Amino acid sequence: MLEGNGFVVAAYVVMWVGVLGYAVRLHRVSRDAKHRLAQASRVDARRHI
Amino acid sequence: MSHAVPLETESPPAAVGVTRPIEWLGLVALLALVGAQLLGVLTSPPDRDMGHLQKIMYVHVPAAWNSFIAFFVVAICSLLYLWKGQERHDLLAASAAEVGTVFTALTLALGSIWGRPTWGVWWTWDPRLTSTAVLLLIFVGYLALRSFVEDADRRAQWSAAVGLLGALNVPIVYMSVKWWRTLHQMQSSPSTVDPEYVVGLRANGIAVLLVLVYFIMKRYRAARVERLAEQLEERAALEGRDHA
Amino acid sequence: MAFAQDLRRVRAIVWKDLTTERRSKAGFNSVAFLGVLILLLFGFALGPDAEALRDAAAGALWLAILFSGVLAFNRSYQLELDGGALEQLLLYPAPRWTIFAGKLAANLLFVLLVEAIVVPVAIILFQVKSTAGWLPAIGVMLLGTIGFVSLGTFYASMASRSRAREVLLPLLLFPMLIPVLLASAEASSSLLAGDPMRDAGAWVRLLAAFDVIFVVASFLAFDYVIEV
Repeated sequence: MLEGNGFVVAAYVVMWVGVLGYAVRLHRVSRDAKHRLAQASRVDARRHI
Repeated sequence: MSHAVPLETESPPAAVGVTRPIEWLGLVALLALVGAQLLGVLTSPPDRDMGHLQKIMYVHVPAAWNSFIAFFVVAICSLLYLWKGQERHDLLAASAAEVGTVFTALTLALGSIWGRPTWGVWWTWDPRLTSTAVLLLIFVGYLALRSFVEDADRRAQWSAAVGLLGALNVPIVYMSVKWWRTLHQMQSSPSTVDPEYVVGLRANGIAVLLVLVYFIMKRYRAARVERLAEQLEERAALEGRDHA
Repeated sequence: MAFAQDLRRVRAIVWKDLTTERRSKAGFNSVAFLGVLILLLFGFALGPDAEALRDAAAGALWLAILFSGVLAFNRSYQLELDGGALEQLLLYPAPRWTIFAGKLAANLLFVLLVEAIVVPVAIILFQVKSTAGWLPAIGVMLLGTIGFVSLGTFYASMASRSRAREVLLPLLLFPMLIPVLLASAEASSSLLAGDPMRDAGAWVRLLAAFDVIFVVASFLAFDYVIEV
């Protein structure tokens, strides 16, 4: 039974690691995308003055 | 291949600014998830056969449901893209496919953790387990295709076709694996759900659905910003860098 | 009238592809040889026990066909792409499906010819005792091959024009083919054993349904895929 409870804990840990891990990745992806857009629009603005 | 797209529809700084409501949704989803899990874990009595192992159901089953919802979104958006050719459908399909792949991988990992103490093995060639794995592989292929094709029109058109055919195949895969198993005879999976677990299960299903929607929207927003940057870069490359 | 003309176009593409193949032969020979090689490797992996070999024969044969056949599909577009011939082909005032039909028929013939070599070798190597079921087994073979080739031809039209085409095609194709693999292997091993469980019929129906669904779907989707 003790061993079984270990599996329950493991399942919840895996679930949270997955969800939070993906949330962190998403945060990075959208931050990088914003940087890229800011960079591209700076270049674009400079050329259209 | 892709034509020069006029960019006046959306000024870039405005697109970057509007992230507030999404972050609120993220917070709500997080709280809902914590609340639903507490509800599930605290209120459910230990199962007669499985004991506390039953509590894995609250994370495994909602993940499975929601990965199917994600792939349903992929199929619908792929169809809409082929029909109407609007970029937003393509980006939404891609976002849903990525999030769905994460949830499917979670479903398999959690199913495996559940399977070890109940069935005594980490993996069994159970129809649902196996067809979920095939679904994962189909959409890993979908994401690989997207990452290997640079041209935006091509990527959109091709991945819409691949997404649609992949979704079409899911029921056929399920049926074939099911026949294959029943002919060889195996143990059944613990699919009967006692009524006292239903409330917790539903609450968790809804909480995970909120997380899914938040992830897809957030990914979609990032994909939009990426596309906008790509188009600006393309335009810069086409006009030459003499002004810079 | 217009349909007859379309059929002529399909025939022209098939003839062109097969002529290219016949003149070089390098492609066919190496693909067929690879199929035989895979069978041999399976034999070594499974050990010399005749009973074990016989049980695994249908599955091993199908894997040999999948792994060797998959090499043919990218080639069939690669030859077009090298000389910019695909653009020329697309410029002709003909419906797009004729191109797909031509490629599909040429690839089907190619894979069937490979099977004509690989299947007898499998029967010998895996010591299959031929019983009454060999005629329906050929039918199963044909149905499975149609499903395999139609999806292979369709996915190769994309994979061959992307980066990393060698990896991408099997990555896209093989997960889709799991029903074909299951149904073909199960039906043919059941038929070769005299169909003791009377389950081959269900598998054949599944194969036929798969073929109809995906031949139609890939014909419809090819129009979208080839134009970009």
